[in-house]
Amino acid sequence: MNFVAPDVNYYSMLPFITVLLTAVFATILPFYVSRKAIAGLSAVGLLVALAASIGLWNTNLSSFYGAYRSDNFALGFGIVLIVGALIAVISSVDVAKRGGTMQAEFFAILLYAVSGTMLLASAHDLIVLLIGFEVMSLGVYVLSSFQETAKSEEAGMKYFLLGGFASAILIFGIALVFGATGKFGLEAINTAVLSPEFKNSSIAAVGALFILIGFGFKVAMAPFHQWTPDVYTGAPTVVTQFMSVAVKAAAFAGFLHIFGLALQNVSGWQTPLQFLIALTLMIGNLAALRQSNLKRMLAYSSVAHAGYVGLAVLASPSQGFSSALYYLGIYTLMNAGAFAVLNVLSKDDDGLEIESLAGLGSSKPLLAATLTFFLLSLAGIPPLGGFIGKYLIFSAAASSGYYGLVILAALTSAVSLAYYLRPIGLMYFRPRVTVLPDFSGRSTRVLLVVCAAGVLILGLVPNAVYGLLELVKK
Amino acid sequence: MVETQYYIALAAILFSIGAVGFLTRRSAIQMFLCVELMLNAANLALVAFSRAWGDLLAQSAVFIILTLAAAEVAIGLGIIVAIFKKRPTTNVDVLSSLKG
Repeated sequence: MNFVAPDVNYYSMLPFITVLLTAVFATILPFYVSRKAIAGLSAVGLLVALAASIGLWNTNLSSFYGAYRSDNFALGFGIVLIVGALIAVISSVDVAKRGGTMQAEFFAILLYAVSGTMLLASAHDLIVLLIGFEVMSLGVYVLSSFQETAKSEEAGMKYFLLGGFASAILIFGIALVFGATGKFGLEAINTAVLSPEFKNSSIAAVGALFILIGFGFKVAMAPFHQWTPDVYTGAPTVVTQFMSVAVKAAAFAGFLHIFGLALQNVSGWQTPLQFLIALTLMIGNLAALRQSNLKRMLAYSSVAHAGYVGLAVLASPSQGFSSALYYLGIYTLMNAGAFAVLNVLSKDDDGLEIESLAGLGSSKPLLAATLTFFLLSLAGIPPLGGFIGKYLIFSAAASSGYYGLVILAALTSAVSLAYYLRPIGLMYFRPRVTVLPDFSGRSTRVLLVVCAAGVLILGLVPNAVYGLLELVKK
Repeated sequence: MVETQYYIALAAILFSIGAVGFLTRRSAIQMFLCVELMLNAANLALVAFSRAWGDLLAQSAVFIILTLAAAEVAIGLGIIVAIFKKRPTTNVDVLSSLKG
């Protein structure tokens, strides 16, 4: 019997291993050092992983016989995920100032969740993808019930039960896809589907629908979005910030990989996905209109954005992958930025009433200006990044022939102006009524300016970055 | 030898029982057990498909899914205990303060 050494290339997994090792240290060290030191350690670990991701760009290394690949798609998503996690780590420093406790375990669990998201983005095999999906989800279940308040506990319980239900549906879908094709590798599944002796197309179609439901839950697509507003409102603000950007980006990475690489030639999921996207765009944007709490409004707005990115899953992979990555990169900066402002302005984790923002423009000019930037970009106003992101996704979907959905997306995007512009109007054109606290430290203020600058640069010179992303195309 | 489709039918029935149970039960523990039933339906389907293809790969995948399910139990029961030790019942309807 021959022993064949497994194909393990540690170099290709450098960003992933760095995050995982940092997580292990963040688990052990709180016994010996302060909470602040753990925050610093987490930030340093994430920065090293970021450098490693940039260093591996264009090398196309792979490991485990291609089940784990550090191609530009995985690295690009990895960079977005690390940036999202870094913003959450920096924002968490402010939480202590307002009396909330972010225990040191927060960083360990956050980093484990980040390692899961990175695995999900790099996986080219359904089982590896599933492991990443679960590691990410299990971490976030704990994080969302992290504070011992009734709302946080309710959020954690809802997220855990519905998330577990969605995972079970996803796993059954994976079992059906394996049954139809006999393969777990994403490219191998596509090869099996295209081969002339393929005769299990109905099983594959049912499996694809189950996987669609599983991912629909995770990225918050209507009608599977019901958990989103409750969990996003109930969870600690920093956790909501992380969930709304990194978890969504990673889930979309897996979503794009499965449907773009493995199941693109399986029929039967395209029409349901179109319905999901149309419903998501309408429900997300219309429900956000009638919210009075900024945190809940941003929760519904993130449902609406899942609809926009969903268009990229429908588009052909050659355009869909890079435009989704570009959009999610900008979305990470602008949405996490908006949550960072919300975090420093609210006295607890319940968020704040939009009305109470009145007069913020004169009392706290920096926070008001950066929040204005992020909201305008979320609304998709040129020349900010959000506009370019939407343009790329809409044009990718339109060139695949989904004109009706693109028109609907543009219309609902116009509706979204109403709820994004209202806080801005209040901040600058109304006198101050309530005095809001300001917990922003220097690191957060620098972070806000950097995020705003990133949103502006990605909007003004899109070719500089999008040229790199062209390399993401398969 | 039993044909593969019978195993798949059984897996589908178990999965449906789990899904219906999840949607109708109101106790957190029972809902959680329904999720476990659905996971095991998926495992049964994988093992049956694995034999049908003559490929042991899916059987090893079942071990990974069992491990993931165990991790989910550990975390899930942790959350359930942490939350319901303060409340009189494990009925999830008591958790309904978030609305809108």
